[in-house]
Amino acid sequence: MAVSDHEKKMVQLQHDMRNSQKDLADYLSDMTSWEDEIKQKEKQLLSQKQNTDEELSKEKMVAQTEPSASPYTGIVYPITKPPHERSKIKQDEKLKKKIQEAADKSGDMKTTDRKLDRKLILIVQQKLGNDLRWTANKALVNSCGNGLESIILGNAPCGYFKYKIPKTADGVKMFFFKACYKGGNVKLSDPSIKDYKWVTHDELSEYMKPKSWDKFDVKSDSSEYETDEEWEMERKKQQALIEKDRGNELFKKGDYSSAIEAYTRGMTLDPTNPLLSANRAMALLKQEKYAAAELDCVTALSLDPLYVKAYLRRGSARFGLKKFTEAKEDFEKELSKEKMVAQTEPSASPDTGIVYPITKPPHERSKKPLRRIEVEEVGVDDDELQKAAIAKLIANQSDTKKQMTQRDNQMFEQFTDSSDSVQKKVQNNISMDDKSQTSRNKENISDKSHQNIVKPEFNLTSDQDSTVKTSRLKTVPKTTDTKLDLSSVSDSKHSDDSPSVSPRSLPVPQTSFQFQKDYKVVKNNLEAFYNYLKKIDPCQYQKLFGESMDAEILMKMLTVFKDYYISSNEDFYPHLCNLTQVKRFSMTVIFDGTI
Amino acid sequence: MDKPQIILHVQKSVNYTLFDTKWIPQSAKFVALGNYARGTGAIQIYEMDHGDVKLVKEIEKSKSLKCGTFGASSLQQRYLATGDFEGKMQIWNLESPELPVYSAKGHKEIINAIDGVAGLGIGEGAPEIVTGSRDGAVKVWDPRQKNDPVATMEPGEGEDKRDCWAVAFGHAYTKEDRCVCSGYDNGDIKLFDLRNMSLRWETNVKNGVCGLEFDRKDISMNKLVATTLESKFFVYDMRTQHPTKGFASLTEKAHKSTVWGAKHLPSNRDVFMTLGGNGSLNLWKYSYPSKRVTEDKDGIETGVAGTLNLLQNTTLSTQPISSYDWCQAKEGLAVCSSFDQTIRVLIVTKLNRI
Repeated sequence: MAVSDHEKKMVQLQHDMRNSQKDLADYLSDMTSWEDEIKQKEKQLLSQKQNTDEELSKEKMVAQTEPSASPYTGIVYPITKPPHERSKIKQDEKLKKKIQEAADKSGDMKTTDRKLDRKLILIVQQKLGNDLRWTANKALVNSCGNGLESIILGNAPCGYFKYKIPKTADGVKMFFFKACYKGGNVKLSDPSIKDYKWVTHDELSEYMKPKSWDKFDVKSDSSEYETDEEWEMERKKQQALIEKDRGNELFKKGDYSSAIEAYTRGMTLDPTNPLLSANRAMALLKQEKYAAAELDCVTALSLDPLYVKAYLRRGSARFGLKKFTEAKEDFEKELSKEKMVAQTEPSASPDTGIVYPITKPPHERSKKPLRRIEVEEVGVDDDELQKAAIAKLIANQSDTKKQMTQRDNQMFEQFTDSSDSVQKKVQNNISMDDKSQTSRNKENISDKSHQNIVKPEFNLTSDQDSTVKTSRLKTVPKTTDTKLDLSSVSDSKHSDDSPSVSPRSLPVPQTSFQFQKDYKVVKNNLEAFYNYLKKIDPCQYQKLFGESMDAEILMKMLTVFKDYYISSNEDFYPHLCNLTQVKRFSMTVIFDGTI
Repeated sequence: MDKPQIILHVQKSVNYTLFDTKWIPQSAKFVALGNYARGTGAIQIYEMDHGDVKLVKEIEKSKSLKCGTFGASSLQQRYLATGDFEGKMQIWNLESPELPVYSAKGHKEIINAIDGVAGLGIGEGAPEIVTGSRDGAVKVWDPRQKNDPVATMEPGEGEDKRDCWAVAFGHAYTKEDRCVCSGYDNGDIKLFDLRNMSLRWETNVKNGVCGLEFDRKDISMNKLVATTLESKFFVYDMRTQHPTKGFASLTEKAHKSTVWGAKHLPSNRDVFMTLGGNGSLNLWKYSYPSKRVTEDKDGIETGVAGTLNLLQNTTLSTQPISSYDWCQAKEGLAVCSSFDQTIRVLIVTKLNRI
């Protein structure tokens, strides 16, 4: 039977499946053996590692690496042996192992054929005491014999000369030592030395290259970096500068303790730099450690008496310590010095941004009399903006609105005219001009009209002044009120009935509405009411009470009159007189039968 | 049917969020990094044991760990370099993990990616570690230098800081040469040459770059795979750089979701595995074109991209597979972790026959 394609495919598929399974099985079995193998290897690695760690801890030789070596043990550096010195044995596996075992087993550490999987460093143990001077002496004896009596002056060379050997990577550093000749003769013992001469400084140029002897001029002993020590000094100074920069960075970040550490490091490196101690003083000031700061300033000043900033900082430190007279001295000194010393760098000194309570000495303070400034919350800050806003609003408003606002404004004018004197007084206090006030008021109102706050009264065209006033007042925003609360005499159109207003500061009411409001506040407190009433001019009664008088209010007033006015012998006849002139007074009296 | 098979060998569920898994070189162990729900970092070491993994060591650290690499440590020491959520790069000796061997607060924000070079006998020159962080900076560290990085590549003052999502070392074929490639969340890929300390090449692939890998770190740059969001990844031929067009590349769509990374097979640099956001793995083979270099109309040499061939794919999980590592010691063995808090050890067969 011929096998169909389909079946062929199936067979193939099965075949493949079986293959895959086999592969997998093979792999898994492989895995187990691999696992064991790799675990072995790992153990080996670990044991090796332990050995090296032990060896390293045993080695306490004086290594001639740089003092800034890595803190780790076991971190490797590249091989320091030049290639021609390395072992030339081929490193194939078996041999490698053999050699490894041999050298590692025997513990021979003088061969490079050990620890082949790692990099090696050559270290030399040297007895301390064989310094340069000793070497120089030895060289002298070796070359000129024992007969030459001399003493080498000083432990350090007086100069050195470096040059590179051409075509190699090597160089030579030649050290020159000064010695005092005491006697004896030169007897050449070193075969490589052919001749010797005693020459003067001028004759020296004939025999030696200019570069080599230029450096140590006999006449002028000091040349730059003659000795290694001086070189060290210079290097330290550089490092100190780096520390100073680091400290400044940390200071800017606000990390004062780290800045102090950096400055301290700098100071140990270079004690002659006044900037470091002055900067440290600054950082200490920030931390409020005034005594320490003062000491640092003293140090800075001892190093550089013309360092103006140090005076400033010492003054601040002393101020912090409450040594005021001394602080004053420092500040004065700073001022005088500042006139002498040129402008310091424009870059921001740490002093800017520090908030000292007083940094100006008394004689420099402003001589203007202190002026009490009222604290005011102003709704709209900018006059210009305001006017612009107003203009914009007006432009946008429709005609009817304009009419309404016009009418409102007219009513408004009436009010403002009647209490002009009051307003002026207010203005003096608040130092704001009339125009802005009214314009603000206008703006507020037009604002409101624009915003269509629908209050039934607003659309009323009723002529009662009081009701119109009422409606308008209701829509005044609160922003203008706080200003008024603080002034004793109000501008009166806009007082808001905030319960926090003490009765004592109740403004003189100009409208009945105001009166009503204030009455609500003071009605429980007869004395307050009495005070309030006193303020009101009797002639105003008619206006205040408008068309009607509330019986309750009338009663209260009469009680007040009885209690307080009589007791204080004040004349309240005009009050009563005017009361009667209030409309519908008679009506009220009738209704209230108790009078 | 000689296609390689991807087989799930062991599956292990853990009780913390996994971010990275790496094989410990020269061993049958791997380390898993992540963070516990309480916000502390987790390091767990597992060992392969006859068809199962057993937990050898469990270490808890104060800060969650995001990524780790053995790339810069020697075979002897096998120190793990990790980056944590606070921007600290630390190197641990797993035998004594109480205190780090090295610690540096390099970044202000989470270290998203870390890579090492010249350790483990791979690559020439000094061992170095590179970290890429959310603060936009890429810093190169030498474990012998305390506190300060050897090189920093960060955006200038006042410039936009884009999150760095991926970093990779490459081109470390001599002692002096080295390149760092970094990928950012806005699709930027920047290639820095550490020998000249310059930006050698940059491009933008429009989608955030999740993963970057050179096919080999220790050879002259050959290929670079960049995987991005929106299920795309790019393979760049790095042998020929055109002055304006840069490197030739091919684009491939896969996984229908974010491609989280690409990992090359240690024994074959043209085979790599891509990790998908839908929990799938794709095994690809890259074939070089007949001519890798041609001359364009101006006579300047340009590279030619090759072709990709999908060898095998499998879906292991519903959550993205965020990390994958081939075992250097055993071909075909790999460990991966996904966001469903499982570690999976996989076997890929028939790789020697590709």
